[in-house]
Amino acid sequence: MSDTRNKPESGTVSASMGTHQHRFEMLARAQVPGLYRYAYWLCRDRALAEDLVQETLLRAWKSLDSLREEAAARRWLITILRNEFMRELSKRRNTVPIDEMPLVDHSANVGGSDTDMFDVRRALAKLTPEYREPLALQVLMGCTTQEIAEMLELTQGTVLTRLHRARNQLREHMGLTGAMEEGAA
Amino acid sequence: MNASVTCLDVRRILGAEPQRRDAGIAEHLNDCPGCANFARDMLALDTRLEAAFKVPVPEGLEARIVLDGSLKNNRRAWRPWLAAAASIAMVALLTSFAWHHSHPSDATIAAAVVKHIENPEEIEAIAPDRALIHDAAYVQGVMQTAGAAMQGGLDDVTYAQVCLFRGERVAHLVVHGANGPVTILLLRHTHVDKTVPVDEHGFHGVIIPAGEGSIAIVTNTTTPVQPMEQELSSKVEWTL
Repeated sequence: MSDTRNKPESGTVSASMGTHQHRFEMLARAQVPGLYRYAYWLCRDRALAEDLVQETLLRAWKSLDSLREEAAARRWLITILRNEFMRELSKRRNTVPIDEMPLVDHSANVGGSDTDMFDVRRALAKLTPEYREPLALQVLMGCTTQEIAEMLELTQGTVLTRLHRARNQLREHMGLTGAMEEGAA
Repeated sequence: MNASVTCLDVRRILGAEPQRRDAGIAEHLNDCPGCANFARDMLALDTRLEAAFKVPVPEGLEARIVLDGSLKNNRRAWRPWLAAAASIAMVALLTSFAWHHSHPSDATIAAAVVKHIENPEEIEAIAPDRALIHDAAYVQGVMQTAGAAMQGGLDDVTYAQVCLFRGERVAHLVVHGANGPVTILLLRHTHVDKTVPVDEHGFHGVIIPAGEGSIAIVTNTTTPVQPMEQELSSKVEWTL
């Protein structure tokens, strides 16, 4: 009679891998579009944005078991992606003079020929990263100001100020009339 | 009007969180037409922002990532013999792919160049009214990221972006030519043996050999590209 006690339970392993694979696929399909767009507005380089998302998801696969709640996935992935971006920035700072880093798309040409869209994207491109990033997290990724504060390691008050100033600057860049407090009693 | 929440308070709050409607804010908006208008403007602005933030996602990115994750992370579950056989097959496949990828047929590469220029995401790059980019360091940075450099720089650039072309990073440049925009692609990873003519969909030009890579010079205007061939082939260097 053969002894099967110490044989690996291949069925269980496969099932586990299958579950892991399925979970990863669900995660990737739900989060990749948002993550790519967030990455683009972080670095404004389409090729780098794609690399960042790929690296983020690869890291996510490896530690997927540590993700207990699917609801927390978006925030978890954003944190991984930001870390990857910081790592990439740090690498580039060591090899390329910072003023030559091609992380600024002067054209803001990222698809679409709609004039209004082009103008808004150009205005977004003019924002400094400290204003653009919280705005992207709020408007694009649907994060609350509390979540943004925790991810960016800022106080909630600072986040609110940056969001307010970001919209104020955008209105000016877009030629919308007056500062936001104008007309307020 | 609600005395505890002022117009200034409302505008500060809604400037940061346009969706917010606490009881005090909602009450103030009911009583104050100026702030109600402001609230509508901010919501409208956010609608435009959301649309603008949603840049096109590269086609098939999710599928590529899922496949990549599976291949890179499932290796430990494979039987050793299966892994070895798969490795041999993969090496053969990749060798074949790499050869065909770096030595595509002339027609294939000419078509791919025009397809890239005509891509809806890129077509704006050849709009005739684009402003000149005066930041030479930015243009150099784009070329450097694509593994290229240009002695003496490049004049009259109106567009510079790192793009993915046949899976590799390339420098996509547009210069203001005599009769309109001319597109220049610095194709570090695409080799051609001889000058390849481009004549498709109203675009004409050439893809010239440049060491291990090549340079595409293409326009849909009457700007002649021949004078640029010599200049570019002598100025472009591959750095990676």
